[in-house]
Amino acid sequence: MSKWFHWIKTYRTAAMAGLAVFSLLCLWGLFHIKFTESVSVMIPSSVQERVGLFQASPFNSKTFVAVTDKDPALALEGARRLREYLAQEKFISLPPIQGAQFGLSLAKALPYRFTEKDAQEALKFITPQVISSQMRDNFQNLMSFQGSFLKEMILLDPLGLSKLMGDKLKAFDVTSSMEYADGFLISKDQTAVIGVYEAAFNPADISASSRFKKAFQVAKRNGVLPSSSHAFYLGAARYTDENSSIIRGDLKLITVLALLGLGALFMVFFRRKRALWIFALPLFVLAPSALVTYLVFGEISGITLGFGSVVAGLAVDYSIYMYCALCGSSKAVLKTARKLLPHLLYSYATSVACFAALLFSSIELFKQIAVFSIAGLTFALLLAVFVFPAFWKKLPPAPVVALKTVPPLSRTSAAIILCVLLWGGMAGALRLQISGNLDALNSVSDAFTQDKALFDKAFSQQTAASGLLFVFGEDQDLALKNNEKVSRHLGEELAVSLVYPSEYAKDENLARWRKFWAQNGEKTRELVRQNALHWGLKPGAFKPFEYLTSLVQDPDSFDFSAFYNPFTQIAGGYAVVNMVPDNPAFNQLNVPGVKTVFVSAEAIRQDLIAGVRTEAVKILLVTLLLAGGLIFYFFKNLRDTLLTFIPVAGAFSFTFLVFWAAGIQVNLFILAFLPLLTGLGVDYGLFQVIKHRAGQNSALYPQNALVAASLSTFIGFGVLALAQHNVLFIIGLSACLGIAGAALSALFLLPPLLEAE
Amino acid sequence: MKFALGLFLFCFTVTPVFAQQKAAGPSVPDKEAVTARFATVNTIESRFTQQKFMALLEEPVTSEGVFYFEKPSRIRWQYTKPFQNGFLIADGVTYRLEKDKKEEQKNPLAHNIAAQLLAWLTFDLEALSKQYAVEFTADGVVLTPLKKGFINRIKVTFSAQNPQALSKVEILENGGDKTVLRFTHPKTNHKLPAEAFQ
Repeated sequence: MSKWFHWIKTYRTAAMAGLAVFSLLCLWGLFHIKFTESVSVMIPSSVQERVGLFQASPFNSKTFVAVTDKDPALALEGARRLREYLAQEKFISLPPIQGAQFGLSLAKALPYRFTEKDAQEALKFITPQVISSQMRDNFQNLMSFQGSFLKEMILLDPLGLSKLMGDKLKAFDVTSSMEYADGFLISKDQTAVIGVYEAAFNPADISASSRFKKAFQVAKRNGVLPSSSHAFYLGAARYTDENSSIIRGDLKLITVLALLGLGALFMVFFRRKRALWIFALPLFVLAPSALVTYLVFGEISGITLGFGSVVAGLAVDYSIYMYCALCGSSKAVLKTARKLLPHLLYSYATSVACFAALLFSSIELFKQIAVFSIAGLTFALLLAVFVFPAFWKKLPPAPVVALKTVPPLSRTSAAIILCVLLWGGMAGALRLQISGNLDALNSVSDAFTQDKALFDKAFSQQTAASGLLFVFGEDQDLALKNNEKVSRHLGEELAVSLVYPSEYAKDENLARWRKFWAQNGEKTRELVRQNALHWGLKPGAFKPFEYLTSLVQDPDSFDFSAFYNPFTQIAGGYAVVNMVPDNPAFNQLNVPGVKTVFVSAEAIRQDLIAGVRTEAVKILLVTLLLAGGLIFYFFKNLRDTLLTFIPVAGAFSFTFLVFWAAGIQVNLFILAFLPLLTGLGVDYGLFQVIKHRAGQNSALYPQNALVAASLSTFIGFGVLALAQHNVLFIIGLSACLGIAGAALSALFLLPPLLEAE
Repeated sequence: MKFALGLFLFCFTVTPVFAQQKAAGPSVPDKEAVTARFATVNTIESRFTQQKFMALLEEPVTSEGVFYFEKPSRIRWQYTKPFQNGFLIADGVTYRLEKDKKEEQKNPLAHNIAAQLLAWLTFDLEALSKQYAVEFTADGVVLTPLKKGFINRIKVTFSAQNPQALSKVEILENGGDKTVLRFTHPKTNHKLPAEAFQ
């Protein structure tokens, strides 16, 4: 230590320059990092499968573009124009136009999808009366303007059997409460028109989502829409853009406010140029920590970076303790630093242990936060012990801060207050309201909230009433086969099975089709010929129909995937995605030999709440175990170890009490805060216990150091409570309350309890 | 540099001369003028006769009817002989007409076909250019589909009496079938009967 210390003392300018260059290089690296914002990194593993499946499903890349107007015609016209514009700009890919060729493909697809029910239904199409009426309509259609478009279709399917296929496709339409026209969903009052499109870009990509937003705004500005219409879009792209905009805004606000707060703290407690090192510390710590995290995980979330202010608040504590110990110290800097080292190491080790508990979490983001924090604290400790003291030689006594002294509490009063606080905290913890809404992890603007409300108002029945049933298989055909098993188990065909039969089902259906026409073909074809003659059509005109109903068939080439692709590729195979009503029965589905997963907003909510509770217990236990074990190892004394945890108990109790009393609903990020608060509380507890144990050497631990350290952390955390992003906000709020509870317990409850001995 | 500039100026000054020379023979109408002429049409009312020449018919079939159009996109196409049917687009919705009844068509195909006819009848050059190569002739245009389909080409003939109307549309199919629409007594920009789009 002394060698290094002397080197820094001798080459201070070089050391400063080296530090500056290192920080700048890290900052440069930071600007080249691509931040990711995905809900999947923020959720426990128990919810991952459901959320992951949804994200991999074809629905996740859908973009909902809505146009509203008091005039229904203008709303529809606006939606058409916007669709054309967005497709032209290559932001959305449209399904092929449902032209005559699509009608032909439906008729040709029927033999391979000809179920028993269809065979019953088809009997109604081949009675002499129905054939006569249908042939009259066919002639009318042929002679009309659209006859040229419909000709091939009529000659292939003069009986309109493709209606049976149309009915199967209708099963995909879960929009019974809505109109459906020209590819748009239309609200009952027809003033809201929604186009559901496949995004032609990655909606999780921040820059792509931002480009889409700009194009959308340009379309609105350039008169693509009627002037009276309002247009907006929803979907993953909007969430990505909103989240990243809000996080960017929050980061600016947090940085500015944290700097202002720390500046004020400097003016109150330090007021010396040399103390500026303490406040410059975050500049040296945050960028390298972010880079380390990025190197470990290969990605870093904006939330992790937002957490930087918290780490900054914690990290400056070591320097504050060191600075305060050196102020007015008559001993050599190295000697004082050495004396303080055990306390700093204890404090560092317990904080690291607390954050390390997050590594046991199944939430990816918490692991990032753990690595980021541990790296930050390590850099901070190294600077506080090895670098800064070289610049703090012969510090005069610290400015006296006239902290209003409160008469010390008696041992009994302190014990009673502590018990009341613990009871309140326990009651609050048991009644804690946890939000299971994934939206609570996203943060959105007021405009988004208004748009979403408009969407929900128009299409509420739809958004609330549907879920996705995933049926797995090793390959696509096995997944389809399993889907058919599920259909049989349910006693009702799932829409996907009707349109996408497995190879086995196709063979069965084709055999059924052939049998049907072997029994009814000759008679039906003769009736068609007779009617054709009656309307002046040549007898051989309906050759395509005769071929379709003969025993020979073209291979099945029906492709509906542009409209509905039911396959989701997963590790080890495929899943077929069925849109089903949000019925809890799907959650308990048990089909022997078939794996199914049901995904709905409610199912995810329940999983999330259960996951959060499990994670909370796990993280808290690991934190207490690691920190408690370390402290006991340092003190070799159970009483001191337990007393060190008094600020922790105070912190948790005060926070949960306030949450309960104010009815605040917390999201799962309360979990990240548990080890953090434990670390803080332990830090303050350690300070007081070590100070007490130091006896005559307690000048190394001035009260101001604890107050300044608490305030710096409070500022670091507190600014997060002003963030718009839900996650940063709840961390900030929880931490403000927790630090207040921890600092007050450490300053007022712990000393009388320590003295009691 | 000078050479490049000279070449640029040469191209821009000489090309129109050749173009004019080439066009000097038969009097091909000016594209912009025709577009502008049809752009001012707010309403159309016309009777029509339709002849279908189809290989599957023993003999050609003739139908008659009437059509109404009102900007921006209301149209009624109504046959009166031998059947009474047709379609109507009003307020963004497509209806099938059958005698005195009308039935809403939710199938996009019906809308697309109707929208196609609307583009031809109103000579919406912007919409047409997206789907067809447009070639102006002395008395109209020839539209050739950009994508391969059942239509080979469409010949549109402008009305000699009314410069804002069409006199004939011929749809020639790849298989040899054809549909000929002839318009008689076209009236443009006059008040349409109230029941036209009901």
